[in-house]
Amino acid sequence: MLNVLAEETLVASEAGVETSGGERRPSTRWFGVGRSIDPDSRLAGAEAASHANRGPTPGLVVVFASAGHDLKEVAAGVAEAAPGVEMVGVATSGEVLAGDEARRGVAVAALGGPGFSVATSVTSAASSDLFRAGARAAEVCAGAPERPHRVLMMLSDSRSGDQQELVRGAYAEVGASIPIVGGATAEDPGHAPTGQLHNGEAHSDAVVSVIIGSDAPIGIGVRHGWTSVGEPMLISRSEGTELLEIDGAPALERYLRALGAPPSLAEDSDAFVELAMLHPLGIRRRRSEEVRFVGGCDPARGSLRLVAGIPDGTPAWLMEGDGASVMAGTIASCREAVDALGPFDPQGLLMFDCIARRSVLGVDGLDSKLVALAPTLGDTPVAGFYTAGEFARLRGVRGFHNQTLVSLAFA
Amino acid sequence: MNAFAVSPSPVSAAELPEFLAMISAATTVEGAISSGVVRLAESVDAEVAALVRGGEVLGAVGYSRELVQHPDLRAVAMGWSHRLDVPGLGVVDAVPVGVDDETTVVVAREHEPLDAEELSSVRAMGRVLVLTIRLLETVERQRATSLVAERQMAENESLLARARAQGRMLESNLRVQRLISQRQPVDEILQAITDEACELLKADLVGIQLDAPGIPGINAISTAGEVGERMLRALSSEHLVSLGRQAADGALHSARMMALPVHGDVAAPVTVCGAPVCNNGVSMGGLFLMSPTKVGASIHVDTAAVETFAGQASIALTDASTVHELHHAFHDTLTGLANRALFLDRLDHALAMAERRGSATALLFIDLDHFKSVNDSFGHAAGDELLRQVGAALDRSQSAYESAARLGGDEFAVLMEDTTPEQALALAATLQQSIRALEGPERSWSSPTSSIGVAMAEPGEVTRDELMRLADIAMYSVKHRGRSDVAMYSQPMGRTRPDNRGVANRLQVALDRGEFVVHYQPLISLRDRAVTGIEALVRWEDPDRGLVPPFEFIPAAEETGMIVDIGLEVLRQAATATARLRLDGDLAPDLKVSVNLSALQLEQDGIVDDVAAELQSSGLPTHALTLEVTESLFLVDAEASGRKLESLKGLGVDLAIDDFGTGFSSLQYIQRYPFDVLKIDRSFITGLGSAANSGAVVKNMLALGREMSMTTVAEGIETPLELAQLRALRCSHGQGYLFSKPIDLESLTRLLQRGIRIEA
Repeated sequence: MLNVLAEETLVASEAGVETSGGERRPSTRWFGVGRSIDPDSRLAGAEAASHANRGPTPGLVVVFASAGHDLKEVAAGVAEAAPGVEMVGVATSGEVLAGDEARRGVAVAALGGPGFSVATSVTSAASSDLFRAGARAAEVCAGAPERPHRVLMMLSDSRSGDQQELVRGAYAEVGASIPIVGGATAEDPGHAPTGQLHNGEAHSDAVVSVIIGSDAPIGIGVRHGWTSVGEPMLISRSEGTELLEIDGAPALERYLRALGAPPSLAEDSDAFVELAMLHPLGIRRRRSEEVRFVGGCDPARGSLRLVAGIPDGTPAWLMEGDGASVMAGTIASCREAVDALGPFDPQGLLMFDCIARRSVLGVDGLDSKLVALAPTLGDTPVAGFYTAGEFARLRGVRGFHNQTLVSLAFA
Repeated sequence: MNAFAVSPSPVSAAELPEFLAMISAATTVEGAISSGVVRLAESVDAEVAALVRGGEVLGAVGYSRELVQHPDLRAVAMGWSHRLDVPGLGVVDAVPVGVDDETTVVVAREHEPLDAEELSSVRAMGRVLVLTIRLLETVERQRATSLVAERQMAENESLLARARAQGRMLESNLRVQRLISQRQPVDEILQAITDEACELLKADLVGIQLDAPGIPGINAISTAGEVGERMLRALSSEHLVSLGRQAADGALHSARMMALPVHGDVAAPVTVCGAPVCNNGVSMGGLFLMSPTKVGASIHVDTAAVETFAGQASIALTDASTVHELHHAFHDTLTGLANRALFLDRLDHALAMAERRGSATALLFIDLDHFKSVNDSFGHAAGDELLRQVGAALDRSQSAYESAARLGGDEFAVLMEDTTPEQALALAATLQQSIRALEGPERSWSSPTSSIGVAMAEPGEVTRDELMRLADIAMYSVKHRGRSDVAMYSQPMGRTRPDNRGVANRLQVALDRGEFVVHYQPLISLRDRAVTGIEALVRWEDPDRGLVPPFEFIPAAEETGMIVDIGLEVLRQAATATARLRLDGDLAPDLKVSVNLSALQLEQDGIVDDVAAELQSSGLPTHALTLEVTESLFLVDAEASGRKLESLKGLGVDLAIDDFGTGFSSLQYIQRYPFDVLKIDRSFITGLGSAANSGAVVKNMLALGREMSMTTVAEGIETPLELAQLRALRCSHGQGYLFSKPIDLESLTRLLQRGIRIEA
């Protein structure tokens, strides 16, 4: 007994203490992050993982590697620093890491200690049946020992199709008992294809899933930082993720008119995307306002391309945001996640942040983001990646978001 | 900030086509069930949805897969229980929604029960799901049987024919749903429904009859072939209406035989079947179908399919009224300009943008001069024409500004962004000229003049409300100087507003001259929109300034003590007027009146005697008077105030707590003193149903009111959507501009005669 206590005390010096039954006693869980900008994929993986993996009985490493890296080599490096530890990850177009925003590096988060339990799985060829892929990904939940607090994390490929279908499948499997978080990897033009990582193997069109159980609360924050402007518009015709008509007029024309932009903008795809990035569409759900990213347009068809569809007949708004409002959303998301921990101190955060939000903040914005987060997070370790769609299912079945920051806090 | 009050329900209706598309793509029974129940739950944001047939759970979401056969689900489906204990959620309320004789959908949503429209949407989806499952079961059976025995081929073919028929049913549903989601005109959708029903159900005549006054051309009739034509010729319109009403009452739920009168008074037997058509869950009429039959022949009609078509008609009606409300919520119906709510939102947005851009914003307040006399001299139609023309005149200049609105009455506002004082004054002058150029109908008004106040906002310097106030002051300064002019707000204008001392004398003179008049705002029963009472509100008819709104003189009246005499004058006028209205035939025999009682009035020793005396001299029964006090009353001397309230209550009058929620809202006082009515402040009502106002606070207040057996009144209802939300939250009474602004006694009498109309 004495030995165990001594070991826990040792951990506590790194990971803080928690209150239980009125007494403060050492935490049995830890969370660490590490990063590397070494151009050699294997070395970068090993360096980041060795920084992150800083406690006894590691349970999980989560790897975020820039798309320029060889994912398999990164995995090999990580495995050297954290042998035998369950490994999941993604190749991304940008990593979030407190203290630094590694644009072209490797970030690793690790967690462990007797207070956590973890199981992982990978489901490939997701695009053939996303619903079934979601259900199979969620089967991992049966594989982890019961803990009072659990979360299912999914890392998927945005190119596989409508990611809400994944959430539906997962929900059909686990029901309301387990919240779902995670993100879909974004395409990164000009670089190696994005992909998913599971126990040393690189995949694409896959869903990597992790069930994390904890003896302490797990907090989730979901915010976007956009506000609706102007009058509602009616989505009058859409097919899948292509928006054909708004208010009975060609969607592209109506959208540009609402923005006060010249019709010629549609011909310049870069300029269009730059503007659209700042003006997603919002739709109102019973319990929330959801954002739909306008990812492009088809001038020939007069249509808009969305990342997730909006059904015909839905009222929608133009949304607007700037650095300040997106920043406010960032802070609110983190705070929400940390607040959900109750009296427990946060040990670390994972973040799934939409790539479009990063574009709004710009490089200066990223610096100010870290400064602004300081009052909420202090020196709590943070890691995550920039996504093309985020998962956060807390209530109901809906759980796929756009242009949103999903924060996951561990106590 | 999101001030848009948009009911979330259209989303669930909008998802029907998506649901149909998804479900019709299913290729296996298992696939249809598993994705069907998930989509069903998702469409209404529910945590749990289950499909239960004959006591067996075919599929469910919300539970983990191994718990799907949970006995609780069956218990809810059978109606034995209304609770589910769901891991991860705890105990939640659940409702069974009957889909057909043997199938039920169970739905549970955390915290918030489903409303009537959502239940109807669930039922419609459930029906489609059940139809699809049957179709797929048939196909699967057929596949199996064809492997077993070739000689069953003939039977298989008939099964296949049925499967195809059901497939056509789905396609038909999808076509109609598409029309609904594209917001085609309601009469076209109804016609499409009768056409589809006629063809699919092999009926000779299908009709939809609705008792919906004010929506012309909404009834639809379809016939098939010569037989149908003949039947239609034989039926009088009374017959059709009677059939629709029988269907509406559910009397035609089971197909039955009827006699159809044909030429020469010979009755031909027909089979008739039907189902009710509803708007927002309220039965509006029915869909019916008929075909000739032979006496003694067995009758078979697919009643579930009839209900599906009627359900689609219901969705079309509900959706159309929702869209109508959506537009109505943002626009003034007379002029087509933005209404106050939309304008305020645009102003908010403009000020926020201006702050970012560092540019100036101008606000123009336009008030027509002598508008009241136009109404009085030439009638309200001429007044409305003037307002319409002013709206059109503003519209013609729209390239010069960002937004224009009719704020109410004869008040208009114009918003200019990124502008200068010179540009704003120039626009004001232009608008004034174009209004002056207007001509009314022959022998009515001509060359109307207007008073325009302009206020400028430098970036970040003034709030929206402050800017509105400044423009208002500038406009009043024009009125004060003799009307028909333009003024820009300047600092001295604010300072030269009459101070309290001046006002005190002026108030006394006004009281002596009888310049205080009482306007009345109706209190409405939200259930049936009947006027149950009126609130008396004082106005000052200043011969120099016109009608002075209360916020300009009440604070001074409070400060100088004049409020005591003014309050008594209001009580006197209100009691007399109400007593007279109650005795005016059947106009309003049970009308009640609410009169505000200020803290200072309540402090007066003689207040109880004064109220008693006014009641006696007016002849108003004591129970017809409600005295409204605000929570601030208890801040000074709670004990003394409480004693006074007890004594007033002893007279037999009702007591209301006004502006509830804006003060310190201590439950202690509500519990301790004998309040009968709780009035929820408008700030909680504004934007109800939008992202900015979830209604959680209102819900709690209403629960509190119910707990304390108090009548609850929502103040400041301005949009149909706020009304819909309040009704859903079971708020019993309300008042606000949606029903009527405060109006003079004459207008009130007219309103009581015609009833409350929410104009289209």
